[in-house]
Amino acid sequence: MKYDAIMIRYGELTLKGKNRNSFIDTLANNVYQSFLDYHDLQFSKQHDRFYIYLKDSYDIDDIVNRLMQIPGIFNFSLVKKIEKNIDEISNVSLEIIKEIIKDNINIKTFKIKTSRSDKNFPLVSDEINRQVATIILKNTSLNVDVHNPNLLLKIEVRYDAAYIIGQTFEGLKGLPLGSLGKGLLMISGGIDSPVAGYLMMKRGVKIAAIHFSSPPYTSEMAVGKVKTLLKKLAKVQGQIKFINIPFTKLQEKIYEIAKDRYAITIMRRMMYRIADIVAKKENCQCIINGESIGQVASQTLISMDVINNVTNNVIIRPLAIFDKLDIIKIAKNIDTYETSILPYEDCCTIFDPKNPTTKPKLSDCEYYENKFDWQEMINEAISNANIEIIGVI
Amino acid sequence: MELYLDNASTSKIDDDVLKEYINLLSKQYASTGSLHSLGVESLIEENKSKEKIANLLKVKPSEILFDSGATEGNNFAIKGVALNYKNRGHTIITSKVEHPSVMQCFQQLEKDFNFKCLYVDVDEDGIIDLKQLENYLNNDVILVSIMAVNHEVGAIMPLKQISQLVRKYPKIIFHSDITQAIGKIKIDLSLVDIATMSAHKIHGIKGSGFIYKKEKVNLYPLISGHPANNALRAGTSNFPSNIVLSLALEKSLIALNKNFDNLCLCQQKIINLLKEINGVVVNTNPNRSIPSIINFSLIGYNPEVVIRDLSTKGIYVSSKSACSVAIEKQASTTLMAMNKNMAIANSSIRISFDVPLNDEEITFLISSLKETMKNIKKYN
Repeated sequence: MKYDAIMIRYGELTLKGKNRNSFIDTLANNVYQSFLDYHDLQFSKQHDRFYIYLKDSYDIDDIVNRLMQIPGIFNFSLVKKIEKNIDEISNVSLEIIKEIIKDNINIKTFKIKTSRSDKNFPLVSDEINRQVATIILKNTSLNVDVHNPNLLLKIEVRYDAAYIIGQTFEGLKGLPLGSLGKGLLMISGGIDSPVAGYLMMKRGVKIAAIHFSSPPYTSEMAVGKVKTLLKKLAKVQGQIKFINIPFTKLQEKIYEIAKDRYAITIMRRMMYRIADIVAKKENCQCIINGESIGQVASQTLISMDVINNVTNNVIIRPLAIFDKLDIIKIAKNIDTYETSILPYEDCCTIFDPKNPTTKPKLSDCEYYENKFDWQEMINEAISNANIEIIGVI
Repeated sequence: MELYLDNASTSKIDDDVLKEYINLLSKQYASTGSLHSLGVESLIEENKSKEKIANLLKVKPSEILFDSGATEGNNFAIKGVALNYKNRGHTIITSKVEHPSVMQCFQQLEKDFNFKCLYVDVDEDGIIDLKQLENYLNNDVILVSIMAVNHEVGAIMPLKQISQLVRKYPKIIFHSDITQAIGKIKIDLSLVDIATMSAHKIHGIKGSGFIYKKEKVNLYPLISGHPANNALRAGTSNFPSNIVLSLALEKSLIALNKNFDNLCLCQQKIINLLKEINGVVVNTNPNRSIPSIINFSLIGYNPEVVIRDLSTKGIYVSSKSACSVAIEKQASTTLMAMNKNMAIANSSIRISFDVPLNDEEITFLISSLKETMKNIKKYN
């Protein structure tokens, strides 16, 4: 079956009142951007849907896969354009239904729903429904269920032609990427942070990424691993700016002055301070990380409060209330899990304090931090940052 | 200054070897298994190389079989003997400090083929306990596999004494992994029945090597296929590598004669300087090891971090200890077998050179090491 077009339905953005048009424009642009290598792809934007016109030479599976990665699409369907003739409509409808049920044995019932904007067509909508349904009843084992069908086949009879709407795919949903600004993702290389970044992109927020590396305690392989993870996230965003902060000196200093119990808390505070400055520099409106309440010592609410105290930037923790298993499930879905579990040390694990506190006190943190000039070390780390643009390839 | 001190892992290709190799790649491409004149030319050249190797090692050309290096060689020798002679007995013996390509073969034969495997202890210098070996020997033993030189600390195994013990039992095949010994010390192949090596440790081509196998020994083939030239190891011959292997071996034996005494001096000098550093424990006994390896531990330091920091200074060393929090702590198997404590076994560094270092290089090495120890934090 050769389809002529893909019909894309917008997701939640239909609810967004006045901002609607700008959301649609952003989505259209994102779709357009992700098909730049299809030089002659034709688009048409309508107020409630968006069409991509297909040519024989296109690889439909590839187009479908790409559309599934684009935030802001509710679902999309393959569409066949045919002659306005009831026999043709019936035959093609049957062909499409047979193709759909071939892949899905759970479909037992169907319904045909026609809308006829061309009022000159000799049959009214209900007559078309009945005629097409008759053919399908005769040629398949499906039954009609007009209230709760497993499969709803839509037919549109318009002035130019008739359209049959075939297989429908679930989109990523969420909101169009970039429609809601940009955030700075703190990425370590573990399982959580890539998932946090992904969920934010899905919610329409573009990301830049900041990573803290501590050579020689951490290896180049660890940085390579983070880049691989960003490559996978770049499938959604196209390109991601990667800011790698040399953290060795600060980290050594922290372990020198702070007690074992406080080292992680103070380290996180320094990371937040750096992220805060970098976020502003990169025009990010928030900082994103993969923290999940209670997962490790620095992620108790008391710890989060004391750590968060160094910045008034918006901190978004998409995974705050997720169970680890649910996070792993998403990580597997977005293909970051296998990379995340590769065994390279990141800067959170190298000194591995025996007894990190779960109830740090702000005054204690400040006491330790007053012992050295961290401001200068922070500035130095930021000015020595290594910046790269990570793309899909 | 740049110091590549990881020659026991792999060595740089010798310039003459490289030149000849490239020349062969572009000019001589016909398979040694082909009957036409181009193929025969390749075969003749490969056979010449075999003869040269045999001459250098005082064995017969028919006893040299080319392969892809010691990992394959060890697999072939050990599994080949065990499977071929399984009707004669079911006990096979090795040491506790062998290379993984030997160790894993034994474990596989033990687990999946029901062989009885015995692992001989080593002393504090890494040299096997001959008494224990003697006690282990009996009429059920069909294979003894003991390395000539240990890859981690450089300890030289007493092949002659082992051979004497083993010879009392005519059905035992004695295999030795000579990868770290060839080109480093003199080796008498008449002591063993099978020996295995890799060309890339003696400035040859990676992915090449040979097995020495006495004619009387039969091996069960592991790689079956077209038996054109070599029924024991099927497949098109990697003859360009095989042809230049004799040159690499020849040059390494010449260098051995030339450099041996100076290498010993250099080893001793570095060991003396290392011993002066607080927190350094030297694990190699220079009197019982090859001169080109020194193994030492930096107590309390994570060797991976030391390696990375030294490499930023242009010094390339290695470690068989992996003391990392991301993966489970792994201590060096050789050092554990040498009865060293955990602190030593999980902080070891190995340096290995091919030519003696000069005084300037030694000073650079020692000062860089001290600097690294000062700069990096100890592991908790």
